[in-house]
Amino acid sequence: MNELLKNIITLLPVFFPVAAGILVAATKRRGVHKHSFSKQAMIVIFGVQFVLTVLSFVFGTDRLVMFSFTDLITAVLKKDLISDIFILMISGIFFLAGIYATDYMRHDDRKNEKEQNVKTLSGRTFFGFYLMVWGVLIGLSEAGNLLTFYMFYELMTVTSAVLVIHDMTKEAVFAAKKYIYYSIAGASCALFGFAFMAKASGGALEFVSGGSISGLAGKDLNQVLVSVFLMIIGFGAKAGMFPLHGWLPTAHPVAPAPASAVLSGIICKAGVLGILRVIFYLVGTEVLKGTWVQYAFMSLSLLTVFMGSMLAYKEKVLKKRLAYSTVSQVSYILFGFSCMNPIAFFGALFHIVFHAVLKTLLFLNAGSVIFATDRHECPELCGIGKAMPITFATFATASLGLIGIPPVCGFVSKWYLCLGALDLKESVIGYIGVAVLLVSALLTAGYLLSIVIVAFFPGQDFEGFDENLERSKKVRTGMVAVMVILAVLCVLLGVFANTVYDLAYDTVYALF
Amino acid sequence: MISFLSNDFCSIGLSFKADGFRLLYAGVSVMVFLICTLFAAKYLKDQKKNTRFYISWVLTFFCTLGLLFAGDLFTCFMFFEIMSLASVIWVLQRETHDSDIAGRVYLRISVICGMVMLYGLLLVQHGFGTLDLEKLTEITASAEVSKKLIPTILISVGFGAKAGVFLLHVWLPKAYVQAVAPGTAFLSAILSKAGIIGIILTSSCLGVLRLETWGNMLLILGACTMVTGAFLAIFTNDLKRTVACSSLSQIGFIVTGVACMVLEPDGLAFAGTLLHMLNHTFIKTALFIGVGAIYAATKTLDLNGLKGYGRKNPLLMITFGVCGLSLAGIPGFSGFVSKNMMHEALDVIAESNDIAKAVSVIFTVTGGMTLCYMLKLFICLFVEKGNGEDKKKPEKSDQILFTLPTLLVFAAGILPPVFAKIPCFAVPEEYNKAAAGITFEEVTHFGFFAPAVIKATLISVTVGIALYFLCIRLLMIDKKNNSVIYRAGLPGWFDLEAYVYRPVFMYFLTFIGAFVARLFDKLTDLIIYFFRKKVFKPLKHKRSVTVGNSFTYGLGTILDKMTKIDKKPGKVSYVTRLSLFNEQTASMARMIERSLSLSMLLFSTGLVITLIYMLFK
Repeated sequence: MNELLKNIITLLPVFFPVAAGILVAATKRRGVHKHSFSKQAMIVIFGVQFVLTVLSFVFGTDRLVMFSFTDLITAVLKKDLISDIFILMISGIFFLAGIYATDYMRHDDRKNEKEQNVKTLSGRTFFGFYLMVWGVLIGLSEAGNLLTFYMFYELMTVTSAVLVIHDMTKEAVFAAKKYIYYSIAGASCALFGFAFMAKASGGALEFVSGGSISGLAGKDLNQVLVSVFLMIIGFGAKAGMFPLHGWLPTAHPVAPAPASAVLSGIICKAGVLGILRVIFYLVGTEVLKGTWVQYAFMSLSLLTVFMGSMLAYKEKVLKKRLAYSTVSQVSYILFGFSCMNPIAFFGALFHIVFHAVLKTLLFLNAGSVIFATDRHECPELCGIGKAMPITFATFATASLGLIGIPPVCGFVSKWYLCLGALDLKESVIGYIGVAVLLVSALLTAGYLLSIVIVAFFPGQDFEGFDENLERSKKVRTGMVAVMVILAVLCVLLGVFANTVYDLAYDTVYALF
Repeated sequence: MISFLSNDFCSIGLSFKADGFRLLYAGVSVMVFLICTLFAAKYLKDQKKNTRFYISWVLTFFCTLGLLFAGDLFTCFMFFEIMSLASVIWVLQRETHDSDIAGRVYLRISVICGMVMLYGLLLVQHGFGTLDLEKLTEITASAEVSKKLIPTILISVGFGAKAGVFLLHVWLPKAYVQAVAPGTAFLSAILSKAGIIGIILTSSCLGVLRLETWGNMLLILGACTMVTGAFLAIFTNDLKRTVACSSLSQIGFIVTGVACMVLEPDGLAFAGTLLHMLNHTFIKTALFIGVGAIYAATKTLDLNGLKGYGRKNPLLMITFGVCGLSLAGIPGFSGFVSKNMMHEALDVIAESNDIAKAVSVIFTVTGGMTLCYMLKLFICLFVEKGNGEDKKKPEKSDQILFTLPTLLVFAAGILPPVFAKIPCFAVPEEYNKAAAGITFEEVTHFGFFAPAVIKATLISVTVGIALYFLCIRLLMIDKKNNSVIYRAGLPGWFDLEAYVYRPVFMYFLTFIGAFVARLFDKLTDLIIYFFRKKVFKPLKHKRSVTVGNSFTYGLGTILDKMTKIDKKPGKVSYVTRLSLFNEQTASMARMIERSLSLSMLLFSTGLVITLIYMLFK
């Protein structure tokens, strides 16, 4: 295929949604509902973007220099296994959550019409920024060097903050501020490391499988280690790793459900991607294995795993509970990276995708509940299973996945993560790591299955809902359809995980 | 034998295999499932929300079959987990307060033990590189002990929880009592055996046969389980709870049998265990369906309300009679065959093992306890006269359903040679391989009327009757004007789960965990908060001072208040006066300050000029 055409195909999924997003956010509709959006138009845009991503996945170029400031400072897009997995995951989840949102965001428009004093941002603004985040994320996952990565990373922070602030309540504004502060603190932490690294390598910091910084042997390793550690902490802010996880439980619950879904499912993974690129594509595991950085990283991630699920277990507000659960689950992935062996890496890779699907589904479930009944706390969900059977059946499926019951997908990733941990040279750490992961899985069961049980078995005193909220279109068909598709995905991804394993085998082993 | 492989499933792969043992138990499961389903159709006819029950019912059944035919540990684990979770619905189904508690306890234990089992699986995969039962049997034979013993224990915790082994049994009496009747029957008859089968397969394929530590552990656990179960069964006045605790006790017998299989792998131990499993399956099917049918007809399970209930009901009487005598191991009934085989195997081991010697005694005594609680039920239901006589009788169809398994039990009892042949065709392949081939010489020529056997039976029966008079007649019964009242038995605090496990695990440990977690959670936020307070100090929120400064305002307010106490209305507020005074003083001070500084300025200018003059003179 023509080189130019290939380049255009690669660039389109990055720039089309950004352009479309600006257009959507900046224009108004004619007539009374100036700020409302057209559902059909939105779905068409989402569909086009999804198709563009798939086209880019199939026909895109391997390496594309977008522009260069100097010889060393260039903006590069690259296509490799990780970026392929990421763009497909991002587009799939954004597409589904977007379709869900076209129904869900009517909720806000309705609320705006009813209550004059609460003025949320308009649906058009939401979808505009939603699309922009989508484009930026595609760019982020295809970024070929650290500079490009950093650029998209900051863009993502800014655009996604609008999704958090959407409700314009006091909490939402506070949460968005906190989100931005933490993210920028993290990013500057990473930038600090960036500078050190650029000095140490003297190069362009291009992402190359197995590490691009060569010839570290003679140099002062400590400087590199400190900078890597700073970058891990910095990118860990987005991934919700201790110590910079504080924004996550504040920001995720206040956003509208589809936004919290992509925040938890996808945007957290941007931090994960950052750490992945730094460890496996920049520095290389050879340098880091057995150093204090590995152990510090490992203990921080394990601490976060336990902390997140323990707090989720104690949390009453459903969306906040899910947010804490994200803190815990994303650190599973980071733990997988910290083991620095292929098996754990596979586990982490699987968990990136599986957690995205599972957590999106859970947040959309929570959204459906809020949409139909305006209930936010777990004890209020008593007996709701009868009124919303599909919502809570899918919720149960996702819960099983997150706990790690086979054949739902979470099991496969946890299996590899644990095996990878046991493969560690220092076997004691491995045993402790596995124990922490399993205790956390236990707590996951505690905080998710209890909701399922309360929802389906309210007890004799329960008076009951009058109607089936799903059949009476309180929860719209589009929303239900998205939840069912995600639930089916949960199972299918788990069952057919081996296909990905076989495809990715060579690439992953080349990293070590 | 038959092995079906698909490597892709969950990237680990499912595999199934069949041998005589698995086919036998699958057949038994199908039979029990059919009987229970027929019963359930009638039992649940008038109830609401049956869809969820039937979904979980069918799901559990297929998972049981999947578990039985599993060819590797992952397949085992997967079906076992789904089976556990699905069967929780049977316990929760009734949605009463008690069933809610019971269901939650069952769910918790299932999930916790499932995770422990997963850890074991991970260790096996890590240590031996495969989960396939056959391959493991070959590999583990020569592996070092700690490497195979720890996974065995961990995996057995998972299976043992489902069977109800001591310390993990806390869910069992609650859940069995609260579950809907067909569910209880299937739980007790098949699911608990699935746990036992799991332990047998794990022990054989992880190469821990003939390992003293593991065998002794099982022996002790088995003995504890049987005593606990029997003890709980004696001291209760609830019909279903008695039968449920009896299940627990019989599981104890079976675990002891498994311990014998581990310590001294031969045909006798295996035959005794398998036959007792079969026995127990059918007996408990019959009894729980019988209990369910009674409950469906009378809506009560309290023995005081059921006195003499079965006096005019021969089928019920036969069922309870045959099953009770068989459980107690009375000659002529099937339990006699299986129990004595296990006992004989135990005695063989006892020659060189002190623990086995003690367990052998407990075995005999618990046999007596079994007789005691079954006598309690039988006498209450069929001998005593009382208010139960004119209660509604069970449905005809139900009567047929609980008589069917009873007939099988009875047939097995009167044809012991045929019954005892069954194990010869049903040895699990892995066990046979791990034990290096087992023979059934002793089984086919088992002397049922050897002096030792007769002696043990006699002791057991004597103990049973003595216990009946001692425990039931003396401790459990109040006599008031010629009528008999069964006491409630054990006090409410006698509950390991509610008073030990739940406080420790649910409250204490989670409290500490949550405390630590919250500390770390808030750490960053706290540091930021601290710095905001101390370093990036924002402007202080001021009280609005209209006139003067804060000192004069404060003093003025106080003076104003004091004048108010005096009840003399002040002409002008002190606040204003003080602030005026303050302003005057301040302006004065400013003037002085300015004039001073001016004179200082002039003075220094003069000084400078003088100095310059002096310099350039």
